[in-house]
Amino acid sequence: MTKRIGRVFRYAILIAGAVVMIFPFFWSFMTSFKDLREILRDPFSLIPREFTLKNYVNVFTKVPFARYLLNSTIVALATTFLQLVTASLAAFAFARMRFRGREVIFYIFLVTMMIPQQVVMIPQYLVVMRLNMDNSYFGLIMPHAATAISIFFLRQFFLTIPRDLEDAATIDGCGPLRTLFNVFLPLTKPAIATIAVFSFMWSWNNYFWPLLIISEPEMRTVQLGLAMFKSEGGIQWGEFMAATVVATLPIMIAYFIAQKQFVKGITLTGLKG
Amino acid sequence: MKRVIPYIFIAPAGAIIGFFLLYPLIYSFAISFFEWDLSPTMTFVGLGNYAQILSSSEFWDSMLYTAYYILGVLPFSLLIGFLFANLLNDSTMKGIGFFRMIYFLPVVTSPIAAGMGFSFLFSTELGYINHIIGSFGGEYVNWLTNPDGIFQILFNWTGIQLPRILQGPSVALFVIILMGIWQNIGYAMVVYLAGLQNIPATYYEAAALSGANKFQMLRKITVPLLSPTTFFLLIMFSISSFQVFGPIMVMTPDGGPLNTTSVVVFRLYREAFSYYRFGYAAAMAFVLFLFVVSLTAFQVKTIERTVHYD
Repeated sequence: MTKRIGRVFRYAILIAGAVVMIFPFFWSFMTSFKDLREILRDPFSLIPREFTLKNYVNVFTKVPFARYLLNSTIVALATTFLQLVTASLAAFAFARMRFRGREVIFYIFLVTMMIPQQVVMIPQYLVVMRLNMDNSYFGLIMPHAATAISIFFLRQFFLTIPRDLEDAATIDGCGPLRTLFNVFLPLTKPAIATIAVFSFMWSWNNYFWPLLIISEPEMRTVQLGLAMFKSEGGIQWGEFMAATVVATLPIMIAYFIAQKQFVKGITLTGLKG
Repeated sequence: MKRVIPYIFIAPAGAIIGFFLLYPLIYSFAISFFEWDLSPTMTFVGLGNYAQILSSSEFWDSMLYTAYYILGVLPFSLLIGFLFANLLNDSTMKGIGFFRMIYFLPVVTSPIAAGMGFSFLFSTELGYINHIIGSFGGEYVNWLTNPDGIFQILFNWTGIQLPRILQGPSVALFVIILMGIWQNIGYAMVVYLAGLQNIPATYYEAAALSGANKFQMLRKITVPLLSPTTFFLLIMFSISSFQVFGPIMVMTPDGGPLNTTSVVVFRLYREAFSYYRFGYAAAMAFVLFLFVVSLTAFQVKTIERTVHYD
């Protein structure tokens, strides 16, 4: 009996917590389907009396939000791809090759994990301006095309691959590049997927860097567009919420598809990091 | 040829990390000794920028607000995450995956989007929070424009004026802290849950045999065995809280009522990109860096001693 009461109590807390966690999403989502008059007259109705898509239409016509989505998609995909390439090459070298200065270089890489973005932002900005990379995809992507954390994470996985497999590949005449692609990468798919998911999410949600180097409206990313939209638009809450929904949807979809990967990635980096 | 191969493998990552992190680090350190607004003339001021920062009351205000943020976000994120992880850690329970999914949703949401949602939730006239307060007969609160410290507000009826530091974060910063907690809980919970699942059930069985109650088990088994996890989360959250920026830009773009949400990173951004004091901002970044490193070192030194590794 006490056990059953305990269980009911437990579910009650969990459900109450879930409501708190989900409510901001729910209410934003519902508001995005209300027109301004309904928001002003009856802001607290949980279900809109009249569903309208006007806010969504406005988001895409008032500002080039479709362009923002495209920009963010290009930047996030390219950043993810480049991070995978640079990380797998470097991780392979650190895990499996002997060379002079390996330890030193590895530690220098690790130290860069601790540098806060704000410390390097001014020179990064100046470098990008001097190379005329501001207001460009190149400028958005390149500074984040390699990160120490991805390299470190992947190296830990490469270290667990038995040497015999590598030797067999070498005997078969595989060079290091073929060994990496045909043996190591297929065996570390979960780690690769984790890095992919995290670098995509990080890039999609990044705000600070685009804020510094993007000034042309056409080149804004989703996060930048969203923040600008609010500061320029007065009190159009319905439109703000519609824009928020549009900006959040892609990452939500990615999360629902790769949920296991997200959770596993967090636990792995969390406990091994 | 063979000896060059490893370097070729490292080269792409090395070039990017070197060019966009290491070189800027040195560059930044160098300009922190100059007065410079991007014009061709740089004036060497030695430690002048640093001296000016450390004697500026605005800087120490922003440090105080940052400290409020960290002290608000850290303990509650950890405690609530720990609580929910324990509630979920029961293989006979249904819906673990569902709850985990919901709690994790705020973690993947961008701080900008979350900030938009929260500014609406806490807006004075149209916000749902004030609606709830109103339906209990309370007065609407100006959440994002109220500069009063939350602890001072609690003491207002006594007529006592608390000393500055004890007045606590402003109501506006309090809302931003709430959002920080909301975004961290899911992360803490997932990491704790993984830690809990690594504790062998036999420990609890043995404890139950010797007559231990639930609370004793929690105190003697769960908490100590999870201490490495707690320690990891503590470091992660401190570093990320020190750098909070996005939510402040969205919720209080002008730095909050009486600047009470202007945390260090916000002020740094302003100094560089609104006032073009690049040398000063670079020096400020290094002071911030020093604080992050010493806080982390302090946590490693003092707390890690109490951490239980097996």
